[in-house]
Amino acid sequence: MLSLLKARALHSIILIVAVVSVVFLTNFVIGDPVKILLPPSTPPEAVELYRHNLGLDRPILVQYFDFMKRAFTGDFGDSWWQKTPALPIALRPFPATLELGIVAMLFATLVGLTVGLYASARPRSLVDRIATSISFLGISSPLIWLALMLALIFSVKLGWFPTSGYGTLGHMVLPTVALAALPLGRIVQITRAAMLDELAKPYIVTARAKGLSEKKVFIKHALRNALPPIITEVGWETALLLTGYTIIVESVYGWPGFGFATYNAILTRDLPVITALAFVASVVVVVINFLTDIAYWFANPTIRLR
Amino acid sequence: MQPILSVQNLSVEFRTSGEPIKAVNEVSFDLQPGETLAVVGESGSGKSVSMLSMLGLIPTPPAKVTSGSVQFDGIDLLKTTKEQLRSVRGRKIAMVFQDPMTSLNPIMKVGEQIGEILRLHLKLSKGEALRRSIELLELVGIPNASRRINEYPAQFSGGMRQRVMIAMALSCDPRLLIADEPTTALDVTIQMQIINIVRGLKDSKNMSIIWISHDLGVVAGIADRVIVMYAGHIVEAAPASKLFADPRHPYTAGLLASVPRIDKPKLSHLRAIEGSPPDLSKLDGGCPFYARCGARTDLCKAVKPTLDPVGDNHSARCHYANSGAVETAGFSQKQRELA
Amino acid sequence: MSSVVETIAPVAEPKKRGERTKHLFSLLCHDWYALIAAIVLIMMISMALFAPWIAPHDPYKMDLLARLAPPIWMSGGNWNHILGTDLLGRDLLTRIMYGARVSIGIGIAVVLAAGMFGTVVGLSAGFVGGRYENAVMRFIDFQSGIPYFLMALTIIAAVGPGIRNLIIVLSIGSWPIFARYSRSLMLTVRNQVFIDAARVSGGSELSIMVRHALPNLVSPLTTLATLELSRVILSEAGLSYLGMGVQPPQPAWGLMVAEGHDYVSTANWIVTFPGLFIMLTTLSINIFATWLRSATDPVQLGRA
Repeated sequence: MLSLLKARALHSIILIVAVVSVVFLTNFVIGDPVKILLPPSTPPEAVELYRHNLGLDRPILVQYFDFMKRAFTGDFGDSWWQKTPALPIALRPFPATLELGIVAMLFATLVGLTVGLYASARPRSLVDRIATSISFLGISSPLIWLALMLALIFSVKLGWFPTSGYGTLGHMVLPTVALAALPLGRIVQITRAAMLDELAKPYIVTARAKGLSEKKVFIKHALRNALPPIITEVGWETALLLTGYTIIVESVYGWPGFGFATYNAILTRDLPVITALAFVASVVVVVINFLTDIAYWFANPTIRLR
Repeated sequence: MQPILSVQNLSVEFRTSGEPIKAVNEVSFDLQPGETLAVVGESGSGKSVSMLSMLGLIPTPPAKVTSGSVQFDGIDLLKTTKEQLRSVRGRKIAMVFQDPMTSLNPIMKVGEQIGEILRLHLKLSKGEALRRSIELLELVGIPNASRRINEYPAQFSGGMRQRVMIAMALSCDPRLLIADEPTTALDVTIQMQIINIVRGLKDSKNMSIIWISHDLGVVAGIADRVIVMYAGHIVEAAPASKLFADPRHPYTAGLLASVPRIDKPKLSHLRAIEGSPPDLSKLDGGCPFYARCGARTDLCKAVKPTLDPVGDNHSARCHYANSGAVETAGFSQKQRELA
Repeated sequence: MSSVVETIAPVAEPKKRGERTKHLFSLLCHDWYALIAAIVLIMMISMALFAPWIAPHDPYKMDLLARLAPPIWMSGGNWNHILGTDLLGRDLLTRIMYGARVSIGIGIAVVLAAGMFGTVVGLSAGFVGGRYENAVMRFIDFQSGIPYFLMALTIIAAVGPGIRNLIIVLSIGSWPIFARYSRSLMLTVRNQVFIDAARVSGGSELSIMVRHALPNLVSPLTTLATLELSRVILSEAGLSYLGMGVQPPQPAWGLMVAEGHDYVSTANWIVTFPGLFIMLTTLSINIFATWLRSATDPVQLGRA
């Protein structure tokens, strides 16, 4: 058990280092960050001086190792635009994203599981057809379009919710719905599929032959066995949501979160902040994977046998 | 003596996109208390479907019971309420299935799976259920029962898992045990162990058993009475000794002739029954065994024979059961000797 | 239990190629949803293929006098621009048609590239096994732990946007899925009885794989490719929206949504229609591919 944890920790560290390294290095392969920072009319000597001051004229490997050394202490450099340390800039908007992400995933998981369970309990019925249609709509929605359409209908045309910004519960509704659509669709599908798979297995016949009620068979036997793949999917979607979907949705709604900050940093080529954000994102993925594994470990006791 | 189970004219169909498949065709039999009845047939003969549908365990969207009654303990299982049926399942009629690896819940402790039934039907408390589960495991010969009660099915070997299933089935002292090919998935040596366990338990508890199998060797070791099924029909029914000594249906004779015998060196080759099982959606008028029968006539093609008595407690579904159908089909006395 | 049902129900005889396609086709006609999805899909692809011939205008032609013209059914609309015009006066319907070429085209390119690469890697990993397979799977697990969208953005920002880089980055994100799936297919196929039978009759293991196993892999892989296509189209839309995908003035659905962003309240058709087309395309792909999977996978037949 301990050796597994140690291997895990090592794997995660390598991952984070790799992500940060790739981000750092690709930003130096092409694209001269200095040219973006300075107005085009700056004389070449001034550009070179600026470059030298930022330490960008040193050989790449030197810059890389220097950067990694400092990064290990949490120092990602200063934001080129805001002139303040990059890591705090990357961390500050994170709670706002967490708010959105957690609510969206909770909604998607609870609703998705329920709908998926109902659909698998009555396959090919009307409930099943509706559930399947909803799930297809969810996984096929282009995030940008969904976010904009929701804003258009419920904010612009109906005025129920504010179009953008942060602060009240009302501000949270539209972004949450937009974020939850895709995970909801996937969770419905995987729940339904996993349950139907389990319900076709022989041990379900045994359970019924024992005289157990249909409800007990469904939940205590089938669902219990269907949970592991569902948990894996939920974990995967959560990581995808927090580090990917939020970039788009927060930009549409002006939600001051991690995704919004990422997009802005990339747009402005603010290298220190970009690398700090990449670092935070990979840590998030590692943590979510870890939590998913713990949940899986609880849901499937037989892995402890290996 | 009153039969403990009386099945009359049971027919089950499967509705698919094409023609309905008649999986079980007017099956009737009685089971006496303490009797062990073997149901023999190939895959697709309807033996499992008929037993499972008695307890309502076949999913009824594709399947449908089109006729028949199953009298058990004063009620017709096919027409009773769901609650009644559930109170019978596991409690008065218990089942053991073929493959214990897939028939047990993989992520539930063995003790919990046995305890479930005890707490449901006998209303035992958690502690009592645990104690009784341990007793049951010991009864079926599983060593270290108190430790193994907390293990998962994957931690047991095939034979041990089947013992767990048997323990589970016996937990509420059922009057009838239905075993659906319980030894098919096991090694031959383990098979004997399981058969002996069941035999021993049956004697001590005066339980009736329906034992489904395609293996005549197993049947010989355990059955009082045998029903032979083919294409959803019962084609012969007789006490075990009679069946092996004097089969009247060509199919039965064919089955007996195809069992290898170590002690008969004169038998030059195994007789296989030519052909393959019929398409159950296309059963037309005549005898279901027509296409593969060595004694067939035009009468057989036109008219389906009924299950008629041919001896003491012995019936067969063949026009020529009393006129040497078996011999005509090419199965001599010498080749058929099994008992 | 299912084995009982399976032995009763008639087993489908393996049909010849022509018969199978006809059988599939009749199955399709019976499933409403899938049929509609297939029709929509064919329409989308035709639109993309024949855009130069059927589009009413030139997608790049600007007409600043007619900018932000509404679609035909709103006041101010006219038959010249059925779906209206965008902020530069370009006809929306035309741009949507040409946009189909770009968006669907990119999707197909990515799926082909990632599919071929991923399938080769996955099949070889499953076939060869050992350290090679281990290394491949570890690498795939590793890559899956990387926050993909963020990485895609930073890489494109660094190497420069454009269709070629877009395809490369999207393929990097897509190949692990093909590799994982084809490897597990290979593992299943390897163990099947008919492979042993062929082995007994002689012939090298590789030739057996190619002749007997590979034909069976075509349909599940095609289904996977189709599902991936919808995912890639959505990713491309997202990246183009953020400015990291197709660049203006090229018509691409995601880009058009971005261009219309500022006009959501005033001229929402610029956003609504391109997005609607993305949605319809991916929806049809998903429905059709899911139907295809259940229609060609014999195990799923009983379950819809």
